[in-house]
Amino acid sequence: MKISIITPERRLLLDREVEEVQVPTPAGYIGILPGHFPVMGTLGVGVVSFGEERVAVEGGFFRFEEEKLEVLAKMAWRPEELKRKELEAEKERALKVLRTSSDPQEVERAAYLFTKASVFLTLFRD
Amino acid sequence: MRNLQEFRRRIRAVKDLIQVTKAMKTVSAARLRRTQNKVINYKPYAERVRLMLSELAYAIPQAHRLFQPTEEKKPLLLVVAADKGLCGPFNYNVIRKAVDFLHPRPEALLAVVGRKAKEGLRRNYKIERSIFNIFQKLNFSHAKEITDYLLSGYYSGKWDSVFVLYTQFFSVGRYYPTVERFIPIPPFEKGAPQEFIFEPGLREVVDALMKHYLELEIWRILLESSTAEHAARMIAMDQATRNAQEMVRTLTLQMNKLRQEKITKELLDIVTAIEAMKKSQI
Repeated sequence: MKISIITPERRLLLDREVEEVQVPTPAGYIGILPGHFPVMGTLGVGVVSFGEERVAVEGGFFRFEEEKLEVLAKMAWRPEELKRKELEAEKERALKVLRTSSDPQEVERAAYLFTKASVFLTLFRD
Repeated sequence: MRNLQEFRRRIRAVKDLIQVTKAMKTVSAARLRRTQNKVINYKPYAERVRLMLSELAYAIPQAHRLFQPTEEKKPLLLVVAADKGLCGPFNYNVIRKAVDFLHPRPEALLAVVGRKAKEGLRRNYKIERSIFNIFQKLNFSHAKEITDYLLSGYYSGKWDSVFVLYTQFFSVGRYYPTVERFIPIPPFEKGAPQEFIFEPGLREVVDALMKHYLELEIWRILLESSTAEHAARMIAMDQATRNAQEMVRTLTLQMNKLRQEKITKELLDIVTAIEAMKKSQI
């Protein structure tokens, strides 16, 4: 099967031959293997992984049909484009808001940013 | 300008100016290329989203709020211009068109993107929201934020329709301000429905896709306006460079004329003096 990852701003990869892909949905990861029934869905914030490769994504859609997986990510980063220090700082900031704020909107936003930073930081675990 | 020194000073000043306008032109040309690349990448992505929407059009209720024609009694106009000037009539054209739109619609609300749009309109109109400094580092999250804002007011009833005024880009020499209706949208064309499993469910995918479609429209609008702005600035700076070069030419001519006159006069003085000396020797 083949995978393409594109965003409104750029093409990350086109028709790469892969054996299995893990895709992040808002409800958790789903695995797609060759021969999977056609599936269409929304992307959460997380990491698309195939073989040794990882691509961080935030929002968007995926569509698998005729052995082709198209990942249409609103935003996407290769691991080398992310900065560990920045993510750690972002995580700290979100945590601080979660501990101190009582505004529900602020808390929701902080919880999202906390999840995002935490998930992307897993890319740096060896 | 009577003396040569003054001429030299002015020529030097204009030559310095040429350096600046030339540099600005080069920068604009580079930015123009970068934005045009983004447009190239936007197109296939938007096509995929439109394909998915047409495949799912059967599941979108005709009665969806985004499709319902409204009376447009309380429209919101989003005006997109630049943050900076020095780009010829680019901002002025947008502002004039905004006035044309707002004048016959006193009940219309106004939101702006770009500092120059605010500066041009704030005296005569109340601005609901201003968004600045996004063009320097334009990315998709800006389009998301703007779309969220436009939709929230539509769903809460603060406005009943949204129009966007921006500069449509055709080529480096051709770009015009235009007004488009953003919400409500016409229903999507129905494509061949395919069998799919939906994650998490059909309803959620459809809703998210429709919202994403609007985000992509705003993204296209921001890109086009930004492309046109860079093109306009490039042309304006090119014109400025040429005008300055012409000025250097004229000033140099005038200076040379003055210098020649001076030389002629000095020569004349010398010759007259020699003649006088000859005469006195006789």
